[in-house]
This record gives sequence, C-alpha cells and structure tokens, in this order.
Amino acid sequence: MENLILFLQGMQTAFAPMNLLFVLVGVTIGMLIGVLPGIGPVAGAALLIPVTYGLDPTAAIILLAGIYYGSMYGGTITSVLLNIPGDSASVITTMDGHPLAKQGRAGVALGVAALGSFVGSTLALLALVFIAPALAGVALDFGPPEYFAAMLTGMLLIGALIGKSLVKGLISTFLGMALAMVGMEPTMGVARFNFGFSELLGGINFVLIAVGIFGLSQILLNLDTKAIVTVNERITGMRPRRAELRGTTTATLRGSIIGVVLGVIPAISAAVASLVSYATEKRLAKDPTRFGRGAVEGVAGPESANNAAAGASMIPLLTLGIPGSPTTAILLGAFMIHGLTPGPTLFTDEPEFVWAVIASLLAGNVILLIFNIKLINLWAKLIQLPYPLLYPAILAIAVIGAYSINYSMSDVVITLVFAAVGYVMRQLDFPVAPIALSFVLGGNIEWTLVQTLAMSNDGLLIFLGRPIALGILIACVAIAVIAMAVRLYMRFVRGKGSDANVSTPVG
Amino acid sequence: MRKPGSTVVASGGIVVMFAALLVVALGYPYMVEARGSSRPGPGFFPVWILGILVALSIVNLVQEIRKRVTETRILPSGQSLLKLVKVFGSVVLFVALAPFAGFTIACALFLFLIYCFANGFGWLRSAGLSVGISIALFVLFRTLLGVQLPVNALGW
Repeated sequence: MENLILFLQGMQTAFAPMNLLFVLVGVTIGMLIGVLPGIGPVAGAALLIPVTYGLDPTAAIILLAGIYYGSMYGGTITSVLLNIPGDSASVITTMDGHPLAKQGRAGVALGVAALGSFVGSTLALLALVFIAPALAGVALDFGPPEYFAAMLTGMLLIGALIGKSLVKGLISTFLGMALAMVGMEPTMGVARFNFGFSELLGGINFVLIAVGIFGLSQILLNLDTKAIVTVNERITGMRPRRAELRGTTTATLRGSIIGVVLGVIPAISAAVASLVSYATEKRLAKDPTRFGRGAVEGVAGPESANNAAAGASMIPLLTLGIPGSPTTAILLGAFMIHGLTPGPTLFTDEPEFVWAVIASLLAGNVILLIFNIKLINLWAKLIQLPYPLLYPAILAIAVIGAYSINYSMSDVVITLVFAAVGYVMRQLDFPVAPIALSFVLGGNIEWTLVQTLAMSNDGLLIFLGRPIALGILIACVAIAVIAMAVRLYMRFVRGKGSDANVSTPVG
Repeated sequence: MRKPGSTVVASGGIVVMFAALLVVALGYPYMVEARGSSRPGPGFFPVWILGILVALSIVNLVQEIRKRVTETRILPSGQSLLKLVKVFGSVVLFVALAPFAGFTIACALFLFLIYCFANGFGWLRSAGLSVGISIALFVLFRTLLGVQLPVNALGW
C-alpha cells in the first residue's frame, strides 16, 4: 500500500507539464529510432545522453527511458510491414507479423502488437512498483562480497550471452573493465594507463565511449544503407477476428508474465523473452502449423513478452545498480553522469526521483499506445525517410554531444578513436554492448573486490562463508547454462524458420 | 603458402596489444602493505583483467586461424571505402575547423561535403540542407539547451 502511495506521488511529478513533455519527446524519439533504419536503441540512447546535460536528473532519465521503450514499440512496425526487425527483440515478430501483412492484415498485427506491448509494459510496471522496493530492501543488507558477486554475475552473463561467440563476448566485457581502469586509481592515487596524457587522468568519460563505440561506429557501418522503401497500403482494421480474440488475450497475458519473469534476470534480453513466448504459444496451440503463416498469437505473445522484459530489466537496474540489457547499461551511465547511483539506496535517498521515473513509464506507455493505434499510418510513412538524408545530421549531433562534456575538441577526437575501435570490433564480430556494461560497473567491481579481500583472511575463500554471494555466483552459472541452451535453440529457430532480412543494430 | 586473412592478422594484433598493456600493468604495485597486513594494490586488478584478456585473445586467435577464412575484410573496398573515408574525413575537418570558423560554418561545410560528395546529392540541395540543419542545430543546442558551442568573431 505504501508503494502505491509513493507511486501516486511519483505520478504527480511525472505528470507535471514539463516532465510529461519530456516523456512525449522521449517516446517520440524512441519510436523514430525504432522505425528508422540504421540506429538501434543502444546507439540512439547513447547519442542522446549529451542532450540531457542541461536537464535536471529526473527529466533526463525520463527522456532516456522514453527512448528505450519507445524504440521497443517502433521496432515492431518495420518487422510487420517490411520483414526487417527494428531491433533484436522484434526478430520473432517478423515470423507471423509479416505474413499477416502480406495477407492484407498488417493493421491486425500492429494493433495486437501495440496492445500486447502496452499490457506487457503495464505488468512490468506493476512488478516495478511492488517487487523493486522489496528487492532494494533485501539488497540494503549486501556487503562488498555480495555486491561484487552480483555485479560480476550481471557483467559476465551479458558478456557470455550477447553476440555470436562466447570468447569474443568475454573479450568485449573485459575490455570494458580495462577501459574503466584508465585514470587515477582510487585507493592510492596512482595514475594508470594514461600514457602521459593529462586528459586521461580523470578517466574516460562514459559518454565518449557510448557515442563513439555505439553511435558513430553504427552510423559508419550503415553508410551504404539506402532504405528507401515505399509503404503504399493504408493500415486499417486493427482488431483481430472474433475467433482470434481468446487466443490473442491468453497469448498476451502469458507473454507478459514470461517477459516480466525473464526480464528481471540480467542478460536474459527482451529478444530471449520474445522467443520463449513464441515457443510457448506454438507448443500450446491446437494447430501449431499456423505459426509462421500469420498466427495472431505469434505476434501478441512475443510483443507482450519483449516489452514486459524491457520494463522488468529496470528492476535490477534500480534496485541493484545492475543493468539487465545493453540499453539499461546506457541508462546506468546516464544515471551516473547526473550524479545518481542506482542501487538499493536510490529508493531511500532519492524517492521522489525514482518514483517519478517509474510513473513516467505509465505515461509513456499510454502515449505509445495512442501513437501506435491512432497515428500508425504516420509512422508507416516515416519508414520511407531515406537514411542518407538523416545520418549526416545525426553525426553532427554526436560531435556536439562529445564536445559539450568539457567544451573540448580533444573529447571529440577521443570519441572518433572509439568510433574507429567500435567499427573494427563490429567488423570482427565482437559484440560492443558488453563494453558499456562492464565499463560502468568496472570501477565498482574493482572497489568491492579490494574491500572484499581486505575483509578476508583467506582471500577469495571468503565467498564460501557468505551464502548470498555464493548463491548469486551459483545462480550465475545455472542461468548461463540455461540461457546458452536457449540461445542455441534461438539460433536453430532463426536458421530454420525465418527468412527475415535481419540487419539488426543491437549494439 | 596461403596468406592469413585480415581477421587473423587483426586477432594477432589484439593479442600483442593486450600483452603490451599487461606489461604496463605489471609495473604497478600488485600488493601493498597497510596497517600491518597486505592488501591489493593499484596493479592487482589490471594484472588480472589484462591476464584474462591475453588468454581470451589467444583463444580467439586460435579460433580465427582454425576458421581458415582468408577473404574477410575489416574495411570495405571500392566506392564503400571511398565513402567511409569521405565521411570520416569530413568529421575530422569539422573538428579541426570549428574552433576557428565557429560551429555554424564548420558544421555547414561538414554537412555539405557529406551530402554533396559522399551521398551524391545535387549541390543546391546539399547547400540548402547543410545551412538549414546547421542553423537549426545551433539554435537547438546553444539557445535552447545552453550548450556553449564554439563560435567565431561574429558570435556564430
């Protein structure tokens, strides 16, 4: 009950005209990122962090969170209309969404997806309201060993599970940690890895890495994208048939629950949640052969699941300071830039902020539902915007963003170096998303490890006497095994079932 | 004898880079004495992280060699490479020019070069887009968001 009161108070802040405007701007940009080619949610959020410098932390995070879930909605539109997923979470939607569009039922696919996304997000919001504060309460008792175990778990899971290769994922993860070591060491004040450059004494700013590795390198990779497509058909008739209503409703509810449960676990991305939901619907269907040929449940379930997972991934972020996905890692970086430390104390130290951000998710989802039902034809038209017209302006914004950190062109040069690094890494099939997560957590992981070892007379054996920390590490191994099995299955399904033209910018 | 692919060469380079950084890390104190007991020093964490990176990058190199791929390119070729160079070069020019010419002129030139020479738009269209976007960005960031963009003697 107390949580509900706090949530209602948060609504007062979130629904203040200026904050509501930032929600509107955030979800609109997010939708644009979702429907336009070449920029994924990670790159989009990274590029726009600098725009939030002048804003107060609440408005800044509301704006960036809006971009996050706005892009989840937007990615669906290209999946259905063009068979091109806007982000990795929408890959599964192509399997039945596009066949529905080819049958002249694009409106139904998009309507069901919008409503499912709304239900999934709302369920995740309820989980945030009722579970997150309790989890934060438990985490208040965490000491350095528990924090170290939790952060290491989140980081390694993302490193191991994102990308095509385990080794490359782990290299990206540890590279992020290595980058976090640049600058003054906190305990003795020793300068590390600055190679004589005074600009690096204070460490590398997260925004330079985010804009360079995620934003600019993504743009450089997509330079040859033409993406001038035409969507001639006007989208109408967004309701499913009467016979499909029951299946759609149950698929939506099941997908939402699957998404929330899986979304809480770091590294179990929205894409995995949507896959599990799809597999569940297919298994429970009376006639599974309909799947892949335009089954409405094949859109409703996965879309509910991926939005629920995206919302639920805010739970570990807000309660433990551990991002569950690449985009929430960018959000974590933004928190830190605005002087906020996500974790259990956030609920006690900054209740007005945290509840306003949570309440803003509700406002954003209502706006997105309206956008996706009432303005769907407008978004469909925007798909036709040519990429060559857009990317130069985005490049200019990226340069301004890097410059505006310290009003220094040397920061822009560092960003360009990271853009080149990101470009080469992507060409060599290294996933870049783990870098963001391990970079933002790197300093804290080192600090908690040093504290843990200082507490211990037996080195790392201290973990054997700390049941929570040990439990987290064991859970890490168990989740990794299960998730890798799911990933193998996902690869099998993609290879076998989808002819989707997947060129997904997932970082 | 078959030449190694560019991915193998790059993977070998990654091993060398991490090994060099590990050598640097070994120069920092690994353990330090504090209040009668030893605790991890500034070199402890870097040595472990870079040691793991060296090990992982060697495994990666072995995997790349085993793939026996020789044709993979890290950089594109032909027109795509030319476009990449033009775009990246325009950004570098923007960075070099902005402190002297001011944001608006540097940005307009940077955008014009990309639209006209990298994307092949007509010069009139490119000029219109470049000037319009750079003025819009100047107003958005400097006037509305308060970002102190570099300006020339005329204030823009």
